[in-house]
Amino acid sequence: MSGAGSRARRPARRFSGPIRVALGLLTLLAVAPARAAEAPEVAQACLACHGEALAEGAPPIAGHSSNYIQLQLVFFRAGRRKNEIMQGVAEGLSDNDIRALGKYFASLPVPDAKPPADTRAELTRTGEATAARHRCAACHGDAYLGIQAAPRVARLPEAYLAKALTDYRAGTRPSSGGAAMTEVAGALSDADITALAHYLAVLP
Amino acid sequence: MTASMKARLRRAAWAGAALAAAGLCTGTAGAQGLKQYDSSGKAFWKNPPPDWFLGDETSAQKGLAPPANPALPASDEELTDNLKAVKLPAGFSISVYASGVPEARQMAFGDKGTLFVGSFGATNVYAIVDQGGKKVVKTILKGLNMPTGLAFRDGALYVVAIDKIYRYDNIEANLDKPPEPVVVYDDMPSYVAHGWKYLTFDKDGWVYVPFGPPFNIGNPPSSVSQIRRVDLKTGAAEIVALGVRNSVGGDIDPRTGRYWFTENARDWMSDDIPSDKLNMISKVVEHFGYPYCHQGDMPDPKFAQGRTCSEFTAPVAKLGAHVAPLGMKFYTGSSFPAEYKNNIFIAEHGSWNRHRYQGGRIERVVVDPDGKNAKMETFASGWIKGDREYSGRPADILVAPDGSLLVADDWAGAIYRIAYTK
Repeated sequence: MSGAGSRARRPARRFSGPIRVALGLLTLLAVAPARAAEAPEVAQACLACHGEALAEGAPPIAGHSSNYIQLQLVFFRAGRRKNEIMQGVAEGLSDNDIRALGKYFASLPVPDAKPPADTRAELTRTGEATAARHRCAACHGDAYLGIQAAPRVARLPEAYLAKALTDYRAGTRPSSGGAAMTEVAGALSDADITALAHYLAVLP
Repeated sequence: MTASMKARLRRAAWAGAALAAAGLCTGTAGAQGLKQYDSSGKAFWKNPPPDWFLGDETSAQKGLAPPANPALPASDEELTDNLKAVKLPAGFSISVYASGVPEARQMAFGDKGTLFVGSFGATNVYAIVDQGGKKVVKTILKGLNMPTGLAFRDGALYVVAIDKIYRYDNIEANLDKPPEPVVVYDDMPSYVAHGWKYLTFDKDGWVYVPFGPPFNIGNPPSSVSQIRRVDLKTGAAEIVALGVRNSVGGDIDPRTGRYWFTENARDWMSDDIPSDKLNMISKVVEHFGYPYCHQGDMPDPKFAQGRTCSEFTAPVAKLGAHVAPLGMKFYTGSSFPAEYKNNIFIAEHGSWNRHRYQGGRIERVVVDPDGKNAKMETFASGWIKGDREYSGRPADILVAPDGSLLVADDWAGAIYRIAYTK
């Protein structure tokens, strides 16, 4: 099966027609109220890097769950997740700032980014097999849009995904959901991480 | 129990350990078709097998991912609201003892009234002190690896963080600058999965320590799936129970000096089986069944491996499936009505992979010293909203010096106080 053909048919294999329509409607419903959300004052600093144009190394954060965004800010504030810029920003945030930021960014629609053209179909297939072997979809969902403690990972920047997995493996980024990511990443090889990051970044 | 039964139990226990070891070293013919975990290399002891908590689920169970802890402890307003939904027997009331205690787990009182609290993923140990009638939460230790369990004895705080037990001497005089710890026991594997622990001292100063297997179900290496009793003064240790899955709670029976403990049963059989357990060790070394037999009477569909449930010690009480019993204490106070004396209170953390959560409450167990005539009733409930939503998750229980009952909630990041007010 060719890489392109496999990708084109994948959604049809996973969701039948009516379910796809329902999922589409749910997505619409979820993002519909978002447009009305007003950015709190404290969000202005975030939007400089995580706004419509992303600064280098800054992942898109719009549409992540409020809980996930709050957790990351708490980790940065406590110095448990390391990033000079983010630690500096999070240092001055109060609990209520963090709650407001979680609520605001969760209310925004997931960026409608087209995945980058996949020029490495073989790596994508390796990544798909690696994801199956490590049961990523069990928590992140078949479409990798996230469930409960597990965030959306579909179509995040490839370099960001690779760094996240490397950091989880090294124990330098804390995991939520009972340390799940620390544990599943522990056994990943460098090649696994490269393939997973690529596969998730180019998901259609 | 007759002498021959005891002998049989003893034999069963040692046979169990041998079989587990054999299964791992060689992949015996009897274990064919079973998953094998290779414990001969470093990787096993550093990281759990990749399927340790997922991988055995059926298609109907797929997507039951662990619930996400709130990032921040609940505010005082939220806590007040949450507690309005909590149901208690007549005459009892619940209030917030302390808020702002992220991921609060095991609790212990110091001699001078400091309440020490461990945590799950927050890496912290807290000291809660009274300042003019107000409870102040100090984070006294940071950066520990899952410091879920702690205990206080002879002026020292003991903290267990996965593979080390630390001692902090004269801690109550040094809350603002705790001393460098002394490692008093470290013969423990470093994996995190089911490696978080609970500490219970007996009257002689030995501490009971549970060792969970780093997976849902499998033949465990013979050094885990057990409870040890350790003399922290000398480092002497002995195995007191085998065949134990994930235990994160226990207490010494004030009537007999025996160790009782809660145990979380295997996952992914169904929403309703097998039941989690309350156990009692009446003799060193009993085997409690894992992985061969669950809830005392249910052979594992794959891992029974020809063993029968009658070989193993049955639980004192079946607590229910996916209720997740954690911390427990005998009621040794005197401010509750007399019938509560020596009853057991169990903090049930509640389900993570059941379609409709259950547990998330405090159970009361009335039971004879020999483990007979166990009767259970729900003492406090109301932290589950809808099918799969928590406002709180009880993780530990402690009897306060004034006889009230403290409850640690690692979801809302708070300590509650339940008092009999009549």
